[in-house]
Parts: sequence; structure tokens; C-alpha cells
Amino acid sequence: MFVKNPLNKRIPRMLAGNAGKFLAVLLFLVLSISLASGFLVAEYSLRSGYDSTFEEYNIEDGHFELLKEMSDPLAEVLKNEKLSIFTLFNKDLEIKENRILRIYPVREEINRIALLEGVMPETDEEIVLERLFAGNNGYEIGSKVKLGAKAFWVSGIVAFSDYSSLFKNNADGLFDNTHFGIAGVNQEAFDELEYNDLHYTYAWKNHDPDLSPEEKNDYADEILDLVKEHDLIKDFVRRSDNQAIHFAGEDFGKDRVFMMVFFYITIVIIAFLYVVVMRSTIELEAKSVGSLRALGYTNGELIRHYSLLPLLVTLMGALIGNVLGYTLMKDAFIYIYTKSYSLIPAPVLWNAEAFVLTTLVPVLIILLIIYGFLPALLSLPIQKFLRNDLSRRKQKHAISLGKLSFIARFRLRIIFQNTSAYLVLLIGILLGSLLMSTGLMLPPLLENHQQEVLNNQICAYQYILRMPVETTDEQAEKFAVQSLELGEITVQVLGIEEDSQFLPEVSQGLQTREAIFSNGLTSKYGMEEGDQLELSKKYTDETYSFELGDTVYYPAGFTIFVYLDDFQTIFNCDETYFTGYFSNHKLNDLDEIFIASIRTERDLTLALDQLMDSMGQVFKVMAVFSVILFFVLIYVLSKQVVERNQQSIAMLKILGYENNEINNLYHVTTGLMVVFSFLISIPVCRLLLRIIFKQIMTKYIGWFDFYVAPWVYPVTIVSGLVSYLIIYVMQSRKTKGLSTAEFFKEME
Amino acid sequence: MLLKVKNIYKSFHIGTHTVDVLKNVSFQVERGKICTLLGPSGSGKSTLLNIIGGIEIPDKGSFYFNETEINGQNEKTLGHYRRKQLGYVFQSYNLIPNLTLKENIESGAYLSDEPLDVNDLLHTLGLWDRQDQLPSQLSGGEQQRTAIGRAVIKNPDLLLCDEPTGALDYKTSREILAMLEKVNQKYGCTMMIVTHNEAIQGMADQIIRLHDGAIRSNENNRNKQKAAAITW
Repeated sequence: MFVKNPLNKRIPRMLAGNAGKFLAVLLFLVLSISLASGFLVAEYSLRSGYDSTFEEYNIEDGHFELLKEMSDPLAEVLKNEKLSIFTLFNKDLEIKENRILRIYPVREEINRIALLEGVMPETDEEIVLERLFAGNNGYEIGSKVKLGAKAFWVSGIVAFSDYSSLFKNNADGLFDNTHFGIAGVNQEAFDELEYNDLHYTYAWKNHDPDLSPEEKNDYADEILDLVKEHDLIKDFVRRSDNQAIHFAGEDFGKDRVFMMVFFYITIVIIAFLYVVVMRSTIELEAKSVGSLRALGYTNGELIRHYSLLPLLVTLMGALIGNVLGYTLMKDAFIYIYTKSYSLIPAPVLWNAEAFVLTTLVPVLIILLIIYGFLPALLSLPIQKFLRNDLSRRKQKHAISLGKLSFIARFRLRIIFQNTSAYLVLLIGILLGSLLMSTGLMLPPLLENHQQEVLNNQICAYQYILRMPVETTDEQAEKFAVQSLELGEITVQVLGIEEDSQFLPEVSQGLQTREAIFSNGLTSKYGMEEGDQLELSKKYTDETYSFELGDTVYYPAGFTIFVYLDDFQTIFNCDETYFTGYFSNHKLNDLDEIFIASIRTERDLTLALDQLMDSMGQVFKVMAVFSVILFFVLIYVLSKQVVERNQQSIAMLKILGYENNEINNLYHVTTGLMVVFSFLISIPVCRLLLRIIFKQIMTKYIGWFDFYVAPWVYPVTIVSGLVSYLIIYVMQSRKTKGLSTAEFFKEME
Repeated sequence: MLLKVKNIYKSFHIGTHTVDVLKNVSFQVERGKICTLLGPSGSGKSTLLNIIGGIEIPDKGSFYFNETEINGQNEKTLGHYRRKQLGYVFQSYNLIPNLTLKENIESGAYLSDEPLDVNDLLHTLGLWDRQDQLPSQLSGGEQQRTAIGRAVIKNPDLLLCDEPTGALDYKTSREILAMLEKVNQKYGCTMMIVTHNEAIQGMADQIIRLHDGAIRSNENNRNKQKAAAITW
């Protein structure tokens, strides 16, 4: 007669008996998988949607602005088989104090508009507004917008495919979607608008969609030469340089490496929790396990039996986690991005990579840890189970404790007896502290970075010029800058004066034909003095090699400092070439037409705020999650230690010990071990954090200096102790509440 | 002959000391018989039972089960031996706490290709009415009967009982002994009962006495009694 394994009938009862523990594990699996999968799905869906807009909405390959309407000869030379030219005239109008709206006639050929709500303007009194600007300024469908003397009704809320980030000017260091917005009206309404300054902007689109980036760049160079030859040019922006188009795309998934490292720490902790729960179950059932083995149950059957529940819970967690990831969490992460960027809604896409990274790999990690642990535990000799002694140590003589007081000796015996349980507690506290410190350190790390960047800014006003123009201001200092590429990262090569007043430390340390690197660059690539770094110029085959002379602390970005003369030589510029000025006050004699942008402390702060806005939100989610998981982990660990001693506690109760004496012996000893574990864990945790952070930074496209806010470790310790205190109170009450009769029963 | 034990030695190392637990132990047990292993605490009874049960490995000597040498086999073969040939009953029952009485017995049936009928066994053991109770809801006697059921349902050739009445009161102990006798008669399985209770020898076919790790006597019981007649 075949009987289906009857042991499996106890699975629901095992689940019910350990409901709290398994529910906690399930909750964390669901939360962590849904967070990670939501994050990756949102990133993938947004990126796919964003990438598809280029073709779907026919986004330009570049644009240029002229001082006046395009001349016939230019129009004639640009009319060729390789590209099409489109008119993109626009007007900037102040609709309220400090609120600029850039108005375009509704475009249907190039840079098409996505209607999110309402209808496109049909009459000359209707206007469509970009979503973020409308939201930030309280406009909705039916609202009235006054442009000059004329009033418009908002007929629709839209997203402009060429303005996913609302940069007013391409040279700006930041965008601000509260004070600057985009709008569309019909052609008649546009023509009637009063304006001070009409922007004669023309966009081009290459006919061949399969051009390589280098070919596109060559075409753009040809267009630039032709435009310069025939007309007066005000601005020229290739699509690849257009921040309004590219900034959002480059931001998607920037914080992915942080999220994934955090996620995998969580998964290891969850696997560890399983091991703790299984170990405590097997310890409690040691005699039954021994009997089953003696009856003929094989190790394989028992391993399968004890792993079945964790397996079911893991699969359930993965399933629910993915469902939530694709729904709620995905929406939450999309919201984080759409709060900053004007994105065209993208459909949710099934992402095989997300499934592998957030479901398959974690489930495999958990199973590997479970199947690594269970055979090791269950392979102990049968008689060890029958004797309820699952220690691997050979029996030795009791350690002599000399003339210590009875209580001290008793406590030490408790520690010796529970060495393995306390070791598990120590490992758990270490893992928990690592998770909590990682979660807590990130938001202040960003704030610290922000502060450091501000503290180390070169000057109050950094002018970027469209062409080299002299100033009469003697306190201003020339510099030149060139962006080069190193894999995915961008490095600024900054040419400075030999006796720079703004970067005295750098200029004094520099030698002719030598380069000083910012610390982020040398740390990221582990460079030492004399090492060479080869950088390339975007879309060209030009490469430049720099030798590391020295390192300077400069947290604002990856920068290589050279003398201006050397800069001109390296980049083959004439000896009058420079890009802009450093100054600590406004340069009043520079004509605005020559100024591409001015970067001030406010710009820097806002740019860093943007970083805080996108990355900071994800970090905050991680911080909250880590705190909750930490509490549960300490709870489960402390509980298993206390439960393990329940029988001995019962014996003490029978002998006549009072509750406070029992607490003093067992719970206080465990409390001391918790404190001891923290004291050991924190320095180890700090070391591990450094190693993990360094690994993250080698994968991250930027650089942050390692910084743990001074309050992070104390908060971690206090949280752990509070968590233990809760267990202590609960267990003390349990001990107090039980009658001697119940203790007797428990003994049996 | 079902069981043949030849020149078994076993010692344990405790710290720097070596304790010789079994010294040159030899005996045989016939199929279908009840054999008691008597002796004071520390005489080596349980160690001998564990060696026969394939749980402990002797240092020297050999034992044969159904003419097959068991000693020296690997863990897999020993596991198969325990699974197919043996039943085990312990002093402290060792039931699985979150399986019902019937499910605990079924956990033994699972191991056998031809297990006994569960319902029939429940009636035989007088547990039919208690079959859906969890171990915590059972008395000590009921738990031990369940443990016997779990071991017997496999229809084993050899039932090893390690102090089966050690944790029970007088009345319940007699009930358990009667139950073992009934099982022996009804299902014909050979039994080795380890006990320090001299009275139990009355129901045995063969009585082996151990003292300080060596066999002091090994005799057939010519005055075998019914379990119900045993008192102490």
C-alpha cells in the first residue's frame, strides 16, 4: 500500500505554529521582491517607452537658432537628400512673476506632442500645457492662462517629446519645472501673440534612421558649417547634447546598483532567518527527528520535509512580490521619476532581466543556503538527536570557573550552553546592522555630498561663454573646459591659470605638462601617481592620455585639472582660447548674447536638490524598509534564544526560583550578549560597509565619498536594544504568567 | 536464526578516559521470539540495542540479520536496513508533536512496501477513538501505544524497544507489555526489549543479562508467562 508522505500533513500545522516567524519572512520577501522588481520594471518600462518616443514622436536630430529668419541661400543649401528642416519657432512669455512659458505652435511633424488629458487646441483661444508646469502652478483643464493681453483656456495637458526635462537653455546646469514650462497653441493664436523675443529655431531630422552616432555627428558638423557660412547663428544643439531630451534617459536606473546591493543583503538576511527558524524547529523536534531516522527515514526525506515549508513560503513571496512589483511598486517608482520628468506614459513591459534578478536569483540564493544548512544539521548522528544534543563539539570537561559568584558562574554556563545560539545571534545582529546602516547611511550621504560640493565650489559665478570674449574685470579668471568620455562616465578637463586665485592649491601643485585628478576619479579607478588615463572625445576617434601627477579633493565631479596653456596644446586650440570665467561677483561688462550660462551657488544647490529628489526618494524607501526588517530580525533571533532555554527556565521555576531571579539569570544574560554582539558587530559592519560601498562606486556612474553620519551606528544599536527589550518584557510576562503545573507539562 | 551477534566490542572516549561499554558480546535470537536485555544502568543495554538498530557502529565484532552481515555496511545500507526490517520504540515516545495519533502511525507506514492496515492496528492498540488527537492531548500510555503502532505498522521483522515502560506508571506499563505481547502474537515480529525491570523477563522467550558490558547469562525462559500475569 502506497501512503503519501504523512509528514507533509503537518505543514499547515507547522505554519500555524510558527505563523509569526513565517509571516515576518513572507512579508519581507514580498516587500523586498516587490521593491526590487517594481524598481527594475519601472526603470525598464520607462526606458523602453522613452527610447520608443524617438521614432514614434519623430524627435529631431538637432536644432539651431538664428538671429533672424533663415535666409534663402541657407534654406537652399540645407535642402538635400540627407535631411529635412522643420520650423520650430517659439516665444518665451512671462505669465506670472517669475513664471516663464515657452509657447510653440502645435507641431505635427517633428517633436510631436503626447496628449495626456483633454484635447489639443482647436480654436485660437485654447492652449495645452506641459503636465509638470501645469501641476506645479495649479493649472488644470478649463483653467485660464493669460499670455500678454490675451486669455487662453487650458484644453489639454500634454508631454512634449523633446522636453522630457524642462531645461530652459541647454547650457543650464539644472531644470526647474515650476518656473519654466512649455505650452502649445494653434498657429493662428501663436502668430497673434505679443512677444519681445521670437526664437527662430529650426530642427533637422536625418532621413537615414540607421546612421551611426559618428555619422550623425559628422552631418551635424556639416550643418553647423553651412549655417555659419550663410547666417548668424545664436545656438546650435545636437540631439546627443540636448539635455532637455537626454537628461531623463540618463537618470533612469542611475541608483540601480544601490538598490540591487541592498536587495541582495536583504535576501541573504531572509535566508538567514529561514535557517534560524528551521534550526529552532529541528532543535525542538530533535527527539522526533532521531526517532524518524531510527525508523528508517532517510536524510533526503527529512531534508525535503523540512525545506518544503520555506520553499512554499519563498515561492509564495516571489509570486506576491512580483504581482505587487508589477502593479503598486512599479507605479510608486514611476511616480518618483514622473515627479521630476515630463515623460510620455509607457506601457508596463514584462522584463526577463528583472524576473531573473529579483526572483530567480534570490530564490536560488535562499534555496542554496537552506539546502546547504539542512544536510549539515540533519547529518548529525541519530543518537545526538535522540539525546537532544545537536552540538557538534565533542564533550569536554566543564571549564573551571574558579571562585566566581554562583550567579556569575550560572550566567557563564548559560553562555557556554548556548554558544551556537549566541553565535547565530551575533551573525544576525551583524547582518541586521549592515542592512540598517546601509539603509540609514544613504540619505545623509547625499546630504553630505551636497554640502561638500557647496563647500568646495570654485567661485560664486562661473560663466560659460558661447565664444571667447574679454572682460575688463581684473578679478575674473579665465578657464577652459572640455568634456571627455571614459566608458559610461564623463570627465571634465579643466584648464586653469598658472597662478589661479580660485584654485590656488591645484595651481600651485600643478607642473607644466602634468595633470591633477579629482579624488573621485583616482578612487574609482584605484589610480596611483604616474598612472595614465586614456579618455575619448564623444562621437570621434580622438583619444587623450593624462598622467596622474597628484590628487585633489574636489567632490563636484570627475575632473582633470591642467594649466590653460597645456589645455590649449592638448586640444589643439589657439593660445587665446578659453571657455569662460571664474568670478566671485557678476561680470557686468559681458554682453548677454555671448553668455551661454552662468552657474551660481543656487544653480548648484538646485542641481543637487534634483539628485536628492530622484535618488533620495529611493534611498528613503530603502531606509524605512531596513529599519523594519532590522526590528523583525532582532525579534526572531532573541526569541529563538529565549525559547531555547524555556525548559531550563521551567526547571528553575520548579526548584523555586522567583521570576525576577529567572529573568536576572536568563534574559539579562541574553541581553548582555545582545549588547556584546553589537559591540563586535559595529566595527565589522563599518569595515564591510566600506568594502561594499567601494564595490558599489566602481559600478556607479558617479562618485560619492564614503560617509556614515555620526548618528547612524548609535541609532542602529539603540534600535536593536529596544527591540530586544520588547522581547525581554514579553518573555518575562510569559514566565511570570505560567503556573508550576504548566511548567511541569512543558518539562515533559 | 534472525539475529546473530558475534564478539561485539564498543568503547567510548570521554575526555581522556576510555570507557569499555561492550566487551565481547555474542548471542543469537530466533525469529518470532521475545528477547529481553536486562541489566543495571550503564551495563551497555542501550548501546547494544543501538548497534543492532544500526545507529551505533561497534569497534569490533559483527552481527548478522537474516544471515546477512549488517556490521560494516555504509550509512545508505544501514538506512535501508532500519527502514525495511526494524521497528523502534523509545522510552520517551518521541512522537511528532504536530501530527495526529493516526498520522504518527502513518509516518511509519510510509516507510514500508507492505504496511499493516492502519485501522486494524488502531483497534488492536485500543486507539481507534483517539486517532485524531495530537500527542499533547494523549496520556503517557496512549503516546507509547502510538509509538508502538508507528514501529509495528511497518510490519518489521525485528522490533527494538528501549525501556518501553520506563516513563510509565505500573498500570500503564502492564497495559503496554500486554500490547507488545499481542503484537508479537498477531503479527509475529521478533522483539528485543531493553529494560532494567526484572519482572518483564517473565513474558520473554529468551533472557540475556548484561553486566558491566559483558553477558552474564543468556538463557531460554522455560516458565514463560502471559504479560497479564506479570506483577512487580
